[in-house]
Amino acid sequence: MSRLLTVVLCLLCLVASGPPVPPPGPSAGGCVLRIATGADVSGGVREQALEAVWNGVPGRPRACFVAISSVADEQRSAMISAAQSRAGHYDVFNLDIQWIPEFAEAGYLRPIDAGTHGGTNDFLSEVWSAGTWKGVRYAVPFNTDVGLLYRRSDVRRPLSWHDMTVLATARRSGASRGDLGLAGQFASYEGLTVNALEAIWAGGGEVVDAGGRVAIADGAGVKAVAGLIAAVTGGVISGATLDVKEAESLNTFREGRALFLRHWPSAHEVLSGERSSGGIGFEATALPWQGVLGGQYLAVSRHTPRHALAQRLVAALTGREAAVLLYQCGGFAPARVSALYEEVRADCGGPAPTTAPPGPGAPVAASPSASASASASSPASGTGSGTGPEARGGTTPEPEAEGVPPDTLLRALTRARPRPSSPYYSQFSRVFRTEVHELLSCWALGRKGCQDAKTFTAALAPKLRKALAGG
Amino acid sequence: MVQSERTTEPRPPADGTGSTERAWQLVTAFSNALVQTLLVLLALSVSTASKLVLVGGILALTALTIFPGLLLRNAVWLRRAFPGWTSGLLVSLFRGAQRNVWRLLAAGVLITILVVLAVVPKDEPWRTCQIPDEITLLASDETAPVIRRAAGEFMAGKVDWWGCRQVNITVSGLRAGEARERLRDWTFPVQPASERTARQAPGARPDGWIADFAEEIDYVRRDESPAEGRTFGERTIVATSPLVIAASPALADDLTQGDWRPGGREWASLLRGKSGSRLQVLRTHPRASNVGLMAAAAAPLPDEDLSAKVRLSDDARDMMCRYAGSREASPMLLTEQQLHELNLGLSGAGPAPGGCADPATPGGPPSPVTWRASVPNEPPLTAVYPAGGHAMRYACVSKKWPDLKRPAVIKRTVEEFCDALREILPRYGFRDEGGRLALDRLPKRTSWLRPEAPVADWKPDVLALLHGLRAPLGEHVLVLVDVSGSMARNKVNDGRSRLEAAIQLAQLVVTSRGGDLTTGIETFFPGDGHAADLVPVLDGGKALADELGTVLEDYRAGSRPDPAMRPVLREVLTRMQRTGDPRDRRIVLVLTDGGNPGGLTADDLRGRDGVRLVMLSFDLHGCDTPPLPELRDRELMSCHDVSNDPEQTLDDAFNELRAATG
Repeated sequence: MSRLLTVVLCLLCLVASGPPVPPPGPSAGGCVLRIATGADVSGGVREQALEAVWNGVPGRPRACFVAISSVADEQRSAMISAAQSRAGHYDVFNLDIQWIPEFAEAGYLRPIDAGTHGGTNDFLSEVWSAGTWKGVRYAVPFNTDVGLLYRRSDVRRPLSWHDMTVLATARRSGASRGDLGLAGQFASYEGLTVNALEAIWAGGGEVVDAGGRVAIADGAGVKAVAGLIAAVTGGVISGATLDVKEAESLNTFREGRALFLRHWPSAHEVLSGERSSGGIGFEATALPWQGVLGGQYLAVSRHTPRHALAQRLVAALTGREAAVLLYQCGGFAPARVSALYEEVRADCGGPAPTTAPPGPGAPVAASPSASASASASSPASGTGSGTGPEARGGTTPEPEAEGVPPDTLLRALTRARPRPSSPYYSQFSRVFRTEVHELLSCWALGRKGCQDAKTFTAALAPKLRKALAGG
Repeated sequence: MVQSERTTEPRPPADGTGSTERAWQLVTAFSNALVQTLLVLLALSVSTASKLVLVGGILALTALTIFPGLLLRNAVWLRRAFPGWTSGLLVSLFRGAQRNVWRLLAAGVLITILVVLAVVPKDEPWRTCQIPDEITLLASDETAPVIRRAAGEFMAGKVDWWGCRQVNITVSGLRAGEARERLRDWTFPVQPASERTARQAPGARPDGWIADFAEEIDYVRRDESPAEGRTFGERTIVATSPLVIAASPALADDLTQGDWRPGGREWASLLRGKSGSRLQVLRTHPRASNVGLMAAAAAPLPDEDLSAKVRLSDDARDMMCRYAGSREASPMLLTEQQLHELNLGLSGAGPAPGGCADPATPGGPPSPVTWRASVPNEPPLTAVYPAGGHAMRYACVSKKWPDLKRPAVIKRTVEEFCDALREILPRYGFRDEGGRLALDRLPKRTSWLRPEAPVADWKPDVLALLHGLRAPLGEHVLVLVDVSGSMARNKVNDGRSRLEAAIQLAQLVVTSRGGDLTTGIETFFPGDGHAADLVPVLDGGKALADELGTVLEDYRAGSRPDPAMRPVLREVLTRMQRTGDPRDRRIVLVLTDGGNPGGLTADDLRGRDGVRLVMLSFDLHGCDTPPLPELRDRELMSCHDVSNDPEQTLDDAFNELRAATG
């Protein structure tokens, strides 16, 4: 009787839950495993790494990156929408470091199966621990990122934020009056959260302390915000940069209109690639103050029907081989320290087929793996030899971009720290950057009635507390 | 020595107040329990109707328990109100309820407990706030800033009993035309069928769209697949805003010749300005701006009447941010709401309009703009309302994606947001659906708005106009892509490799701005199999876009020296010279980072029967590589630096070509 009752109950449950949702089948291009991600800024090396460590291994179902958007907020929004639809639209999420608590708390992720991973002792501890939430590991570092300070070659290296402002002020009052002091990311978006956090840390303050308490209204926080305001009123951070994001700030620097640039390691490749064609002379160093730890982490979707495969895919993509490729060929800061000092140069992929190409009009269907297997040198090495097809006429040597030297990257990474860890980080960031942007704009525009640091922080603190509580 | 103190229990007074107190305590405890139960019920994640049934049931049963005669006392009224048998039935029901009131109460409590037990394990009301429902909305760049502010207000109002936010809204902004084209086909041309082709991230697919005019939705809906059914919900007109010419009082006087009545003068006379004066109204191009598009529908003007101060890629916000506030500013064509936002910012009564915090956009034309109002609280710009009452009519609509099943609450919330916009937007200077301006909801001192200005029920025939925007670069276009190693290895500002940026730009050209008659592609290595000869494009450029994707895959890595550009250019120019009619506009578009143009001479470019050579450089200094500056100075070719913003610079180049070729 009880068995019959159990069967009836089970049938009722099945009926109540509706028809089973079939797992998504292979998509265009035969992709079985889909990795939700942002736009590729590696110049195709991300795909190359996927080919090398996963798709190129016989017997494995094909995996593909599905690029969602180049805008971080849109990436996050689309990934959460997909997770909330519970349809297993993606098998793996490539998450920005600050989204991990939100996805984990909401139950959108499966815990990482430690058994699928090999050695993990070469991850930096801060980088590694950012993949956990409430003691459970949900994500593994794919690549990391950290702010660097770029400066024009004719400017000496500053030792601190204060030193940087002194240098910038001195130069502005001298011959190069029109120069911007610091070009950063001060438009009202995530970049401002990062830049403002760093500026406040540089001034000795905290926005949220290690215990999760909002500390911006403490004495040190007030003083640090006052320092930020002073940088704006003193012209070190110009009002003209308050709507500037990564690309524009880089452009300001590469055109020689700023003394300093706070940017990611990827800027090094842009700037070094232009050196030979008359680009600006520059030096890159770790920030002389604490930087924000960035980076992307791979996590397995709770709703994927192929979770075992997805776990293995994450393990493969976060392994040492992929890290070396991403660093040496794509210019990404690797999460594994060992990848920084890898002596064997990675195969960064080859040029077009070296055999005689078919005639005009006939498309070439060279496989990515075939192209990856051809020989070439690494941009990190800054050398290379031409093996591609010769065009009519003569040829000239190629200028090549260089990655950031490993020591510089390591120094920057070891002193970086993550953003406040909270499932409600996106709301926190939205409130923080909106308020900071309004404050800085007010001072930059010389309006009357701008809040001083004490009033501002006193008003901001409860808003941040509310945001961090999910309100 | 400290002695222990004996605590003395309060003794109940002998006068009987103790029993009253105990009764009072009992009532208080019962009330507390009842209130707590009701709070838990209200916090459950069930529908509002279910909450009402549960709470109402508990309250009714409690009332019956305390006042068992309650129902029967009302039976007299029932006997009067209803026929005999009905009231008899009800009275017997009431009697039954009165007799079994404790059983009913027990059943009610039991049901409540069961519901709570079923719901609470999956949604504990006392736990930390849940992650809110995520919604993405799409709006044009011209409207997105204000929609973001409205979304902030809406989210702040959508909190539950415990103060947790229930919804998170992300508003994506796209260029007006891009938003429409993406909604027609979210994947093409950025994500063609082949997984090996270049994939430009298309952006998050929206759950709803705030269109700048209702006809945009009709335009997009025409491409809805019958197999997928209707993917757009019912559209709601959420606001209107008339087109105005924003000018300083002196210029406004000049434009209107003293007749400041709203609608007092025709478009044509206003746009021409006072006879003999050199006044020109700045307005945006329909391709990049819906304000420009609507203006073109209201008052068609030849393209050459567009000011050189406004770039082809500028939208109304770009224009107003760049020029508003300048003492020498020309009049500008904006919406009334944009003027309102602008004036608030200029007078210091409000924040700088969205996207206007940067007065001197890096890379943009020099601007004297400052947001410091010279005279605080003075309206710096006046609205001139042309005759006709032409207005933007903003429409909000939900959107579903067949392959992405979203919870039902998402569609409901989008519809709620659409309704909320009707309430929120008038506070930002929009008019309601009927064209009425709610002055009482606006900040004081908004004298620049003229409520009496009419808003016509204008239904512009914009479909033809929209289709006309897919203008080609010329009759015959050949795109020549530099695939040397420096293109693959070096990056542009946004992190893409130069080659990726070039390929994606070329895909944009072949899918939307190629040749009207023929389009072709070729690489710097002509024998590599990637030459797609000049052919009529009949598939919207899809095959060429796919071929370009293959080019990227084959060349994305490796180190290839720059080939000499001269023979390649000479060959393609000769080929173009033989293509089509000499009267056709024939263009060779070279996507390079400078390469190796050594040896190229003026004679190579001269005498090509009008074939124009346009070079787009992905290196900041590519156009400075000799002999390009000299050739450019002699107007034998043009060269543009696209390393900062390829898509925008393409539009600038297009603008230049249009001016040069007529």
